[in-house]
Amino acid sequence: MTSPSLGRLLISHITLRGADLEAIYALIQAHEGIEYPALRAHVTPLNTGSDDFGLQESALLETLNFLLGAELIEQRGASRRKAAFHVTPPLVGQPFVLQLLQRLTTHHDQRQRGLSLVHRQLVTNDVLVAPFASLRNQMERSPYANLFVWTHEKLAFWSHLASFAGLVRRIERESCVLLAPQVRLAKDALTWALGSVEQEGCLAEALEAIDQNLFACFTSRGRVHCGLTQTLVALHRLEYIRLLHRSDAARSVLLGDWRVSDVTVLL
Amino acid sequence: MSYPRYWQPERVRTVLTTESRQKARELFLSTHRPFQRIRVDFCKEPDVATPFVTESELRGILHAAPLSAHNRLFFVVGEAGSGKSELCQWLEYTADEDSRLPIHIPRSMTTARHVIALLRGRLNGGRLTTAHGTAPPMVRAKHVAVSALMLLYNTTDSLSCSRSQLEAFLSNESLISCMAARLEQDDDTAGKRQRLVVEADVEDICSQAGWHLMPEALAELSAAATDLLERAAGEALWLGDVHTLLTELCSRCVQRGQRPLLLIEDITAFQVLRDVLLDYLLDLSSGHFDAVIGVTTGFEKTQLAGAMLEGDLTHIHHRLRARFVLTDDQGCAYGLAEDVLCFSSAYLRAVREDRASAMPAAFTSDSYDLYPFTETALVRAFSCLREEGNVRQTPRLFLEHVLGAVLQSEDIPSVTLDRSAYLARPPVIFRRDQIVDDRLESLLRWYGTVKDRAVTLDAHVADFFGVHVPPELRQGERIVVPRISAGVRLDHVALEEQPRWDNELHELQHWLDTGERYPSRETLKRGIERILFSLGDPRELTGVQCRSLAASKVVYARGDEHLPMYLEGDSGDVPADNQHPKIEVTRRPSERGILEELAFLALPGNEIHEACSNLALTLEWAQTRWQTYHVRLRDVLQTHLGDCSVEHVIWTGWRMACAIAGTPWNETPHIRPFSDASILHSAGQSLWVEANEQSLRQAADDLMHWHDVFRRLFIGAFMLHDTMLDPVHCAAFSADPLLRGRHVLDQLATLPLRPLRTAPFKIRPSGDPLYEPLAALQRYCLLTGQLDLRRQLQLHIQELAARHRHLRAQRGLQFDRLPRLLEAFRLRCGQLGIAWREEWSAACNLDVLNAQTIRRLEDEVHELNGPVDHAKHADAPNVWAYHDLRHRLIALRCHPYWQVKETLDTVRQELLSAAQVRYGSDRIVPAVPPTYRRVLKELRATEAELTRG
Repeated sequence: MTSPSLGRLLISHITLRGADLEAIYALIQAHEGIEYPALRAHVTPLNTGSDDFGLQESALLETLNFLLGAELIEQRGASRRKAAFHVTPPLVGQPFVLQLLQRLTTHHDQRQRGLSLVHRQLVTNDVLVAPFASLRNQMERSPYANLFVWTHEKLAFWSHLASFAGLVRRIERESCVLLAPQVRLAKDALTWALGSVEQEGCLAEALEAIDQNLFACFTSRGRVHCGLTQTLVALHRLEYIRLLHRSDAARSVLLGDWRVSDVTVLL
Repeated sequence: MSYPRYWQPERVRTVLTTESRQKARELFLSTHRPFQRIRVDFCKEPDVATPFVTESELRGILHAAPLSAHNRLFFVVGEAGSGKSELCQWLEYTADEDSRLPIHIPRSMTTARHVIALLRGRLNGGRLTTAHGTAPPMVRAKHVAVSALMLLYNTTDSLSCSRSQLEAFLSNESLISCMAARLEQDDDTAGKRQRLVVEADVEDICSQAGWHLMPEALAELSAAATDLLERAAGEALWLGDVHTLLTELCSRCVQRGQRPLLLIEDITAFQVLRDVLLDYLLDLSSGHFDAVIGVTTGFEKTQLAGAMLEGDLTHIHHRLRARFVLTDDQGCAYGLAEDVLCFSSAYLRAVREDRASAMPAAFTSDSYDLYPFTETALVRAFSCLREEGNVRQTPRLFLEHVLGAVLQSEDIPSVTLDRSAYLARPPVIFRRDQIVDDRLESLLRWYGTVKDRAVTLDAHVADFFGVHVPPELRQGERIVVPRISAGVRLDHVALEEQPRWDNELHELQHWLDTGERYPSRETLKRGIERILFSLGDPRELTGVQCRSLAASKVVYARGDEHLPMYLEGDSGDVPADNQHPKIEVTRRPSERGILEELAFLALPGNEIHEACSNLALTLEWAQTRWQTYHVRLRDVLQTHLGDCSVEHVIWTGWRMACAIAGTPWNETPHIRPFSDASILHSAGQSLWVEANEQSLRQAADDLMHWHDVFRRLFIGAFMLHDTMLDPVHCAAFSADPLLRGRHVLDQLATLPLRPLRTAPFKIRPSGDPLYEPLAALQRYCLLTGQLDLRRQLQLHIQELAARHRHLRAQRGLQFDRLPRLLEAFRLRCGQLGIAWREEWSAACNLDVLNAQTIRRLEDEVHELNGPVDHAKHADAPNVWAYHDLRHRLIALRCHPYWQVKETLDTVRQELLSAAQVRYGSDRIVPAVPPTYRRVLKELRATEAELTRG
């Protein structure tokens, strides 16, 4: 297996969007071992005109580079254009979004975790609403300030990708990002996490598993992030999950002022 | 300000105790309210049919076993404060003492020493003894020291001091002497036990041993040593052989004709003894106990299950005789809500000193004297009980934080309830601008009766508590305050906006309550619209995901920029119909809060995160409405398109434009723009050249007029951005069986377009109505559908065969002579008075004609014959393949050879016509058909004639 150009930061793939990643990942997943020419044929529109600068394929190459950098796929072959591609899902049977978040959160290179760290920083500070204009400022004042140069483009890319994943809501008209995970993501994440906790239905354990593997859940004071709290309460009120507290439960968390020990996914 | 009280605080403390054992037997029995609903699980008793039993039935179950029956284990499960202790206490007091020996272990008596002493007491007729009660103190002290050493060796926990130091200390003779002295003193005081070692003892022992420790080290040693020694003493001195003790207790009871009824209020607090006791009781054949064990829900699920070897409760549940549950999943005591008045009344009566005199009528309900509460206040307070955000409607919380708190407070009850951390404040549901006095506001909040338009209260209640009521609020004997909204924070409304906001919220609330007219509904609509637009525009029906600047979208363009909405009921809105969907807003109770917040959001200067108390919930609500409306709009479009989706139309339209232009694609599309205007304008002309193809020609030209619109729509619908197709979407359409055959084409051909002409679907950003390109596509599909492809293909086969024959006949042609012959033609034209035309010269480019060219052309004609023949014999001739074949055929027809041939034919024809006129000779009448061979023959004949002439 050859090594892709992994030196490039994931957060620097600013032209990409989540839909591109998901589409190419799904294509490789559906055609395990697909070779580059076949991949190109599926993705690039037919073109008889000249493409001296390789612009037709640049988006595909960019997407592949991101997926390789994130270790969601691997390539086998002498070079990118002669290689065959395989998916390497970290969470078997889970949606693409969870696979993506897992890789971004647990990447061995801290700089490549940049996309995850933006969210972690905002969650740590218990931010619920982040205007676009303030993101750069926040990251430059954070412990991750020196990871690389934070630019508006990188943070715009983060906001698009996080919005695609369902971690945040990117509200164009209000020029801000709402840090309340979308209901579907929270439910998928809880469903996954509850399968890996030791104590059946323990919310605290589930959130810790999510925090370590998927996305940040806890503020610097150890409380559940206010946005996630709202999402969990929403899930409960919409009867996707049931939250309750049992007296003397070994572990519990506070969702705002509400103490909860147990969670059950209902649908 | 105070109010009349008919009780003493001391009496309140005596009656309203945290633990039921704190009350005297008579008081307990006078305040005890029977448990009417106890849920039964895992019941192995016969004749217990219903899921709920009363406490008397529960006692019946306990008493049902014969004397010799093995251990019977019962769990009483409930949240903290749900009445487990109360139930155990009641069972103790009401047990049949002839057949049962109740042994009640209260929550406060949960250390090993206490419990064993209690059991031994029962065994020995009440005298508390230890397991080693007869051994000399020195022996017992040595036993404790050795046990502590054993604990030290077995523990893996980190210690605050060094192990070697602790080991030396525990082996010290002075320590043993010290402990022996303490034990001797304990024996003298008949069971009143003191700690075996205190910090001062540790200091003395260390100094006697010559260890000079710093104060911090000494404190750490002291803490670790005393902890180990106390645990060792508990196990070594008090625990003894529990199994033997319990067995002996059992056998003695049975000999007396009694079964021991072990009532353990709360096993949660048990430490060392818990496992030993449970092991004994779970070994069903080990004795004859009826054991009732109280556990909290969380403890049962997490810690008790965790303590089991298997990690779950199956082992225990299989051995349970029954499991009695006092609270539901939400932490509410079963039956208490229905019984709250009676329950409160019993305690309030027990508290009151003067029980004979009647209380004011305002504080009575049915036959219950509830002073200083009313029925409304009690029910409301009960429903507001919370513990750390959880609904916890348990007797203990109610007694302590409602009844107890109020009766012991100096403030009026409502103010006390307002201050409680265990009560969620009811929302303000009346107009506060009319309430100046905070105490009146508080009183209305807890005691007020909520009606449709107002909150009311018996004025005597306020008078009794000394709360001033403005005259304008009094209506006879009642206080009446108009209602406003619940939930929305008025603090966030600018002062000048408050009257308007109050009014609008009042109208909103009125509509929510009754569904009646809602004059200021535009405010709510603007708020809803704002949250919906934050998710995107639901009227964009295609191209939502595409990021290409070249993309176009199909949009629903009815009305203005606002989203059409319908607020249900008689709000004043016109309901949606099938063709004109609207965002429908209902009045479900679960939506009330969200709608109030969204109306609030419409006020100037408000941000989404400020207006919405739960962003996730509001956004999810909005997402559902957004999606529903979006789907309905697509459905409307679908009704105009039959079986086709709008994507089918776009896919087919672009593919057809490409087919007409001669740049076809099959599975993998292209998005090449047709930059050459001449191709665009002549595509139809050149494709459908025959005279009878006029209508097809026109239809093709009309469709090509929209080629760029279809291209941009295709980019929007099927591409992620300029250079990347959406592979999943494209693959789905490539494999779509509807698109493989003629189905979509036939559907498009037969669509009734008249309704679509007026339908408000447009293409953004061009602004063209969707109808126009669709009409062009339909006409073309209709005409191609009417073509008899087999017949067309047969004609093409015949044409190709004729051309092939002709070309084969030209193999012997001497191309070098052609220019001379053409010159001869020209000369003859001059002789016969025919003007030679420039176009004939231009068309007769004889340089391109040679043997190789003709041979190659012959091969091409032959090669094309195969596919045409194949297409003709296919099951269903394919219109896409036909376009391709037709383009190839036209390319053949356009070969320069045929142009030369046609020109020479024309010249010959004119020449011979003129010659016939002039010469009148039958010899020179031209023959038909005009093959090139015949032309040459004519030329030769003409040449010979000219030579002769």
